[in-house]
Amino acid sequence: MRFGDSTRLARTAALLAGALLLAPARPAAGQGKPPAARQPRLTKAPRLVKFVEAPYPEEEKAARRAASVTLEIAVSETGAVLDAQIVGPASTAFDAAALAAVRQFLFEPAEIDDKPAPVKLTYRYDFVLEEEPKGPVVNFEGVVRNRFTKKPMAGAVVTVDGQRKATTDDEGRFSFTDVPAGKHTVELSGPGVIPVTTEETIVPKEKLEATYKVEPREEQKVEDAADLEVVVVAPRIQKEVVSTEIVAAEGRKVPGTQGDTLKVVQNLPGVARAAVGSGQLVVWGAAPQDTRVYVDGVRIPLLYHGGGVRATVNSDLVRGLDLIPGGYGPEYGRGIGGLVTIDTRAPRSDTVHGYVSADFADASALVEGPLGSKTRFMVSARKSYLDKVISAVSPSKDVSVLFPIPSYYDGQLRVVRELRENETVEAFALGSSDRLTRSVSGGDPNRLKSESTGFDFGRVMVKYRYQMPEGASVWVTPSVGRDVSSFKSNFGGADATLAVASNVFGLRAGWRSRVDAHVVVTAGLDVEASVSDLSRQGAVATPPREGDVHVFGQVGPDKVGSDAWRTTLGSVAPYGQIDISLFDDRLHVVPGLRVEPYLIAGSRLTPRQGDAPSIGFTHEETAVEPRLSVRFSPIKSLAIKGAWGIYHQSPQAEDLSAQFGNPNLEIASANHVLGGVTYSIFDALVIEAVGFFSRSRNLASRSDSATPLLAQALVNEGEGRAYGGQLILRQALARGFFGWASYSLIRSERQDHVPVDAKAATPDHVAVPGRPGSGFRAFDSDQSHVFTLVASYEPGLGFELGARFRYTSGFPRTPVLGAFYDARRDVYEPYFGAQNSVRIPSFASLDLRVAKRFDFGRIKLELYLDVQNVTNKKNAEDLVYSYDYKKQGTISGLPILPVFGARLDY
Amino acid sequence: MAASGCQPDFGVRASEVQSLRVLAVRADPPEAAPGATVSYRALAVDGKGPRDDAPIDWAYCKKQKALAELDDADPLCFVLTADYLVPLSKGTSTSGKIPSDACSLFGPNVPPAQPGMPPGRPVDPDATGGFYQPLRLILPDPSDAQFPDVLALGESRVGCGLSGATAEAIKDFTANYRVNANPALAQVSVVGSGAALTPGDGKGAALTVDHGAKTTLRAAWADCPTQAACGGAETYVHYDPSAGMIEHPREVLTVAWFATAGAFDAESTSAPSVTDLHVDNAWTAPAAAGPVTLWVVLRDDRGGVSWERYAVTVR
Repeated sequence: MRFGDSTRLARTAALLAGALLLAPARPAAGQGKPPAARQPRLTKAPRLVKFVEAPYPEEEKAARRAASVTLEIAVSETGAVLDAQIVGPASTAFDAAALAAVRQFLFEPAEIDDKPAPVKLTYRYDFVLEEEPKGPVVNFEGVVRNRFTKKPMAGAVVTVDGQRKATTDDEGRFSFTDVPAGKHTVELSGPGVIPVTTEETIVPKEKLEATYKVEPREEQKVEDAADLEVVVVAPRIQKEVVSTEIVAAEGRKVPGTQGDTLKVVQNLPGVARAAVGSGQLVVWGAAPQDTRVYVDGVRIPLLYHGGGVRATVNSDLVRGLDLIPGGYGPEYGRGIGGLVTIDTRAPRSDTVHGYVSADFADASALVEGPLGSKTRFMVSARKSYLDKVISAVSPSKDVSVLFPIPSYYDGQLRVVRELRENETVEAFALGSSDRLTRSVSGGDPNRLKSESTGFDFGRVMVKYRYQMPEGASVWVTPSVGRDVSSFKSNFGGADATLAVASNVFGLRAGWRSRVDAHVVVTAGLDVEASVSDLSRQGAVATPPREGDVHVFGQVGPDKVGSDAWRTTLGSVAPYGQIDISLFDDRLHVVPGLRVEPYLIAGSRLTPRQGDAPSIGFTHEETAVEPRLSVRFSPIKSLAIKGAWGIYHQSPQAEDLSAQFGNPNLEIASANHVLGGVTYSIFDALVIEAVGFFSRSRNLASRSDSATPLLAQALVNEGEGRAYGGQLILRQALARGFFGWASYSLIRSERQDHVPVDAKAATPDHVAVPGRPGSGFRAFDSDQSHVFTLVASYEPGLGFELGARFRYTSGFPRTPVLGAFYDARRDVYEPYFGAQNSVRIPSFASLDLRVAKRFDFGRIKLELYLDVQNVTNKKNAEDLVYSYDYKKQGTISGLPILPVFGARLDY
Repeated sequence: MAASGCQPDFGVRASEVQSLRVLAVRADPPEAAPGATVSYRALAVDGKGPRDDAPIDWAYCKKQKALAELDDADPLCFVLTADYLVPLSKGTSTSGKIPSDACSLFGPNVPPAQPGMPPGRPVDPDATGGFYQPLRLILPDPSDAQFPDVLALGESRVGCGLSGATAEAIKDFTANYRVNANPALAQVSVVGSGAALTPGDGKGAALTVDHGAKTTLRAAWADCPTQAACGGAETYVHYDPSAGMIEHPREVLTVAWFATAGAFDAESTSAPSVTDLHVDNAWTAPAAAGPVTLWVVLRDDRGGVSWERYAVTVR
């Protein structure tokens, strides 16, 4: 859009004529035209690439006359104007001005029969007299929206160069007049906005229209509990990549989540479908324990309660959640897989609010509100009763036999105090407890198959955050916590037990500031330490770990050992990152570096031997982790991005046993490389494609030796690689509809040891095809194809309709070739073919959801019915065998499962 | 809400003997030191009854399994010839000397070191403190095209002493340890009538029942009030590595039930308490009249085993 200079009359405006007449400048040179010869065909029209504006003739301007001059232009095969003739004159002055201008035009040449060729065209040059503006001209306007809710924000203050201010209206709009051309600093502030500063460039005679999505202050974020929104971002490279956001208002409506927004992560591209009852998060082919979960920068050991039925953190506390499958920045580390970060929200300040909710699995409640003028609180709790419901209504015991039914509870308490403007301190405590038990009684008490696990964790953190007036921010979060886990199983072998109690300490501090118009610097310190006391009894191979060849329900070995040990794992990681924006913010280059010395210490270097005193150990390794991300937006609707990084993680405390593991395990490492393109087809319709490759080394794997050296049951010989791509087409919430279709094609592989051929031939190393040590094989949780289709629609009257369809490949399994009868133990023991060379049949499920919302003023009631597997498809969850392994079958998963729930907000 | 997963029914049960199988392998004595001669006998059966003529190929297997292998023996033991196999004579019975290096290959002694390497890790004991020399059995089954060999693993408990314990514990263990004795079925009887079944060769029916009738059988064994060798649940010396002390537990006896027709309620049964001297199991006779063979196999958890065969007439 163009504007005239306000100080004088408008100059000319020139328009390309709508009619474009074409004619070859010369005929096809002299050939006789055979009867069958076709006419030359214009395969590409000429395109004007250099327009020259004709000066408006002064006398015509004075007379306030407008006119159009029609010309015939001869364009050469190079695009130059060979000649121009007036074929539709206006006046002498208009004709002369137009002719002079047109002769300076430059075209992209036309093509005839796909070859550049000279042509003639007719062009109309319009002289348009613009109205002289009356008064000031608006040349900078826009709208300010809540980043999370996308709603307009009224009362936000937009300041240009620290002097001129405008306040947004009820529709979030603002405008400025006559902002001089050039670069200007624009600050967004106000009572409901966390201040942020950016830079804009005003181009002469053009109006800048801007949309700012700002982060509201905490109290503003929760102004309407019904509209609380959690942002799920996946995948992304850095904060600036927001085109893949999924808001909580959408996530809650996805069938299968039962209103738990955090469960929507399981439906995002790059995430494998977890087997029923596992709840594991397999992201981009990484092992579940390699993907880290952080709440407000503090690591928690579990995102989901046992079985994945519910998240361990109440989703009503959550403001935003990012799933970053790989290539993340230096602020986080200690994990070679993906990253899940959860940001919680502050309690509401206006009055007391809360909710109570119940469905088939659990009941929960939340209360929040002010405590005086500067303090707010929030407390929530949840308790499950799924185990009791199933035992009461299930006609079969198979569910608990095959898939343990969880019993869990969790709670959160948060108190926030505002010290002064933009400065807060808060205390946040959260805890979670899980119990899983299953048993199979076959009439013989000594052959009772049973498994029970428990996992309790708690965290207490104090968060201090200060947003400086100039836009810089500082945060400090010390934390303490305790994890207690227990495991006991017996599947026909010997009892296997593992108990771990850990005290965890953490400190996260950082500073972020815009040091230059184009540079934002982040620096910080990330400290974490854990002291764990562990005890374990049972067979080395029980429970099986990734890479162990076994089948579901296989009787474990009865050779036993025991160990009790203590470990101390810690690291102090300073990090820094620079966000450099170039080319008017179109290009962001974000290099970063994290340096992390790891300390690994333990109480026992060798297995216990009689009275011999234990010898402790300590070793230290320093990891240097460069990270880089790049994002380029050549046009507003297109973003091209890439990232690369090196990542490390320390061995698990459980693996440092002298009896069952290896106290000398070293840290594992991984490289991530990813690249992708995001394109906004329409405002709310986005398509994104991402490809990635990751390579991990030094993974802990089982020793392949029959008699490994003392304290070397595990060795750092494992390697992994994962590669693939994902595609998502997503419609954000608009006119009551949202949804997405995503597809991931991923291959994840592991190599447990250096291939046997590369080792010296020893009696210990016999190459058995498909057995561990035979090169790369499919990762136990590899899921090649994952397709998800999600759609939700609000037809009105408070109704919501939702549907989800999922198709995934089955997990790899190792085929059983036969079995031998162990006469001492009266069990059959299988022998196997090539490791992970077959798969469980693929999974497909259609889920539906219908909800109705009732509004009673301050009280809102929502009822929903969530039906999983509406077609009652018998999806295979695992392969099982007859007692002698001569027949193979499958365990089918959940049948049609209608779930009714209710929630009351006040 | 209706919630139920589904596990397939394969239509076969371990207690139903319909094809050629090995149901047990007995060692006499059931526990012996390396170099000692041990006699072995296999219980080979098929759907028609015992197969005392089965040409079983026996061999000690000296190949150690990988530490993480879930099976009790390396599957490569089940080849006919290899340098790690020590062949024994063929048939349902054989005998052999336990390899002299059994305690270092499959026991608590330091295993042979690889060239240029320090010695590796000894084998862990089972829950009773036992170590076992693998014994592989291969029995051709011409009637099964898919699985032409019946494979079975016998294990001979090896007396290797105690390692890795305190000197006091080793002294206590050595002074009090007694080798295992095979258990023995004292009696199998019909619950209710109390009638004892007569074990035998099947020429005379031990029991006559109506077709489809359900009969509860009781397998009993002797009491073992002292630590002397005994056919019941013996008391034995065991070192608990987690507590670092000697304890005196009693064996757990388990009964496996087999029949050529009809169905047992449970595949195997064991006493809820070590002081119980019997277990019960119900057997439902087949719908068709005719002879049926039952086998009752009694095992202790230290590698000891015994069995009896009973002929049943279904009318």
